Amino acid sequence: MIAKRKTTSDVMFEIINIAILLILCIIVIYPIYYMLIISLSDGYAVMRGEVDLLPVGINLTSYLAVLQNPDIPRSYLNTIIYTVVGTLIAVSMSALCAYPLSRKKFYGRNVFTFMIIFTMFFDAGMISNFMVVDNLHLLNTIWAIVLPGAINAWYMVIMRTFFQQLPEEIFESAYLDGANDLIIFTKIVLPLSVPTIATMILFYAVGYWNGWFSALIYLDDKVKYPVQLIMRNIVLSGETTSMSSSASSMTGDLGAIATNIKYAVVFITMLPILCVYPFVQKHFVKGVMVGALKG
Amino acid sequence: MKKTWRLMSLVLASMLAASAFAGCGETEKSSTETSQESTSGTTSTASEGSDTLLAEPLTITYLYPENGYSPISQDCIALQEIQRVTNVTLEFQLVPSSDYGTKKSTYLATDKIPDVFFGSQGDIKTYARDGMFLNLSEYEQYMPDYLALITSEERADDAKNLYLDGNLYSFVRLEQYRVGTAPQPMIRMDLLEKNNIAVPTTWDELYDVFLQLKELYPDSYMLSSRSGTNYLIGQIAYSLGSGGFEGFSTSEGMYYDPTEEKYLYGPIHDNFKTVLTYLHNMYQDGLLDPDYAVMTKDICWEKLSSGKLLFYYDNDTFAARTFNPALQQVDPDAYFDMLDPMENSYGQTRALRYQRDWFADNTIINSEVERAEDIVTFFNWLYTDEGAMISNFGVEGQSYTIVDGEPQISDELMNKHASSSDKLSAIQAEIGVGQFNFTPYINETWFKQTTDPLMVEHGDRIDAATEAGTIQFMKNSMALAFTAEEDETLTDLQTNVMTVFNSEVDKFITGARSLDEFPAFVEELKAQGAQTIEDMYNEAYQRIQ
Repeated sequence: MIAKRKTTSDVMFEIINIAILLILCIIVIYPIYYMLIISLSDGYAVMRGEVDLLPVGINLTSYLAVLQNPDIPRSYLNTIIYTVVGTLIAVSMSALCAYPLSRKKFYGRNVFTFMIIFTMFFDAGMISNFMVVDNLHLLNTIWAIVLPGAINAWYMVIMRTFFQQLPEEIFESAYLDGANDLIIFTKIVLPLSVPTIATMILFYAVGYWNGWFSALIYLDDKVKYPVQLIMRNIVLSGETTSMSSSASSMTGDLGAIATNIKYAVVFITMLPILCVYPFVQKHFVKGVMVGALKG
Repeated sequence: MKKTWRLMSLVLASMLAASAFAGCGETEKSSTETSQESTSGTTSTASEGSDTLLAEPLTITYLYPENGYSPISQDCIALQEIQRVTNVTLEFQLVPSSDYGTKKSTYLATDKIPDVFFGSQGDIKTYARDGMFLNLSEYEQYMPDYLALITSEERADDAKNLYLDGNLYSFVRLEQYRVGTAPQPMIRMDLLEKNNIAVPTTWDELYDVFLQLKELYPDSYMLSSRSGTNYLIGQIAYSLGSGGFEGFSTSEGMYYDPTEEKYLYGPIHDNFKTVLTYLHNMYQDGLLDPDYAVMTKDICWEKLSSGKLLFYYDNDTFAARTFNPALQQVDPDAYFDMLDPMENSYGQTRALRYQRDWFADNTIINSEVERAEDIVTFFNWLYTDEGAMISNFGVEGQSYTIVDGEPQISDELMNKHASSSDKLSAIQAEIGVGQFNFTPYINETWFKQTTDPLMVEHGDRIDAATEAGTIQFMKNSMALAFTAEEDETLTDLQTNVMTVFNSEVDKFITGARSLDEFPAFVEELKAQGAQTIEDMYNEAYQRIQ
């Protein structure tokens, strides 16, 4: 290999490229960094607007306040359970749905596809969904969280499209060797689709991790709430108490000194999913690279 | 292949774990069902010869919003004491307060409301006529204490707003004792003292003080708003001789004028020009922060606690609880202090304080409960002296002791929460009392023990000014006084009027439109129906008198 000498324009391009990427990195990282320094700073210094680049009056009181809240550890565990169980079910169900719809010989696949696509454009609405979940006796159980969203039409379509791109010859040879669809699905399609499945795991996991609305609607018991619902309440309580008609109460200004607590909660809930990204990203990039067919 | 099997076994193991988890859910669900059953059955009204309020145990499920900063515990001592004394177990179904409205609406729409829920007057208006809620007027003999309170002389007038078609549907949150709180003129008193500036007593004198301060501190502004133009107008308009947008009703120009003894739509009366002129002059002289119309609460707070704003007209409590501690970390002498209500150019000295009681906080009972008399008896009990003591202070000897006739927080609790940023809320959350909990008859005596004495002093001054007649209570909501058709008309008219008002009001303040055009502006508002709104309010007000 002969090392190619870099021309001035190459160097210029790299400098500009790095500069643009650095700016983009700062735009993405600074809000997260800002939350971190606010959560570590003194509440009054935050209120006076003194915190820009470095924390002022560093202390961990906001984190202690958050962790002393008995709801946080319990809801954290709930979120992990909902995310793991939900993602497993969702990815399995989506793959099981996508596979037949990707097979050309599946009779009526266009009708089924249409029925699924239809739900992307028209939603029955919250009340009817609630009544369905209620009549299935799923209210106030984990299933109310993980089952209604088990197949996301959009993600299923992505999977189906990926499966369709697999070479037809593989299926034909498998059939000739006596394999049935179940064997083809588990032993050929799934192993060949690892990048897509990893991507789906990431999408679904992030969805379940961030999800709060179905928990709000379907769960009655506080001990089953996911952490996002608890976090949302802490973040919004400051605003709502000071803006509600009860603002006349002394407690109306409670939120004023709680900005650092809010950010501590947001940071704590964001951290795990942030840590998962780099590991899944490996497959994510691979998925893009090899997705174009290897034959 | 191995990988596939591993994956499948992982799926199966997780499902097993999940079903165990769901199993827990089922168990708890069945306990809720049992509790709901327990509210049915025979009635056991106030017990005779029994130690408890009710002879038969009763469990009431209560849908209630939980504040993020003040978690409600089912095991708190207040609830345990209530159960011991009354034989009633309050079983809370807690919903995050941030999204309580969504959950409540879903339950109301699907008829899944538990025995009792925390609702609004809007809920009563929308659903009570369909028979969804217990008509308390049919159970008056079980609620003598509550009725005595809402028909007392000081409340009787406002309490008429609580009746829908002559019927009562809710227990509203009332105040037993409250540290006086009001949006008041608050000024950096340390700067006045330092520069030998006399404390202003009229709005004109205040303007002169603003000018002097601006000369001394040219980088600072005097006034801004934490929530836009209408909020700012709402804070000062009444005191300046006009009115409208009071409290948090930023889309509502109506106010009750005690001089004329009727409701007025503030912006269509001549006195409103005084308000606009005052703000316009402040803008021209660099006294009003140029960002007043778009300033967020956080930025407003930042400016007030860092010396960039030297005056505010908002809750007096913010000074002692929020701004003074923040200011004093940097300058120990700095502090905001309250000015007494100021005389306006019409010779009136007047200001508003927040409504008595919390008419927005309603405890509403499902009409399908079977031991309705007992539930009503229980909620009535919470408004008795005994009920109020337990639901505000917990248990004597455990959470409080009586000193000089007043309940004092126990030393143990005080020490435990000494480092908390909001000591009182933390203590109340532990006991299970206070406004963030379900307490329906609020007593705020503990503020005296837990907050800056300056706040209590302000409270006393506000009470004194109320006695003297210079501060009046804002009127409580008249939501129930209007018919459904009137409501619809009002919403349409208010939208039309506010569209014109919002597009023009800042122009007057910034000078983009001359104040000479004020009469034309009034005509524009009237053309959108402002006068009709005023007439409808007065008609409805007459109906409930």
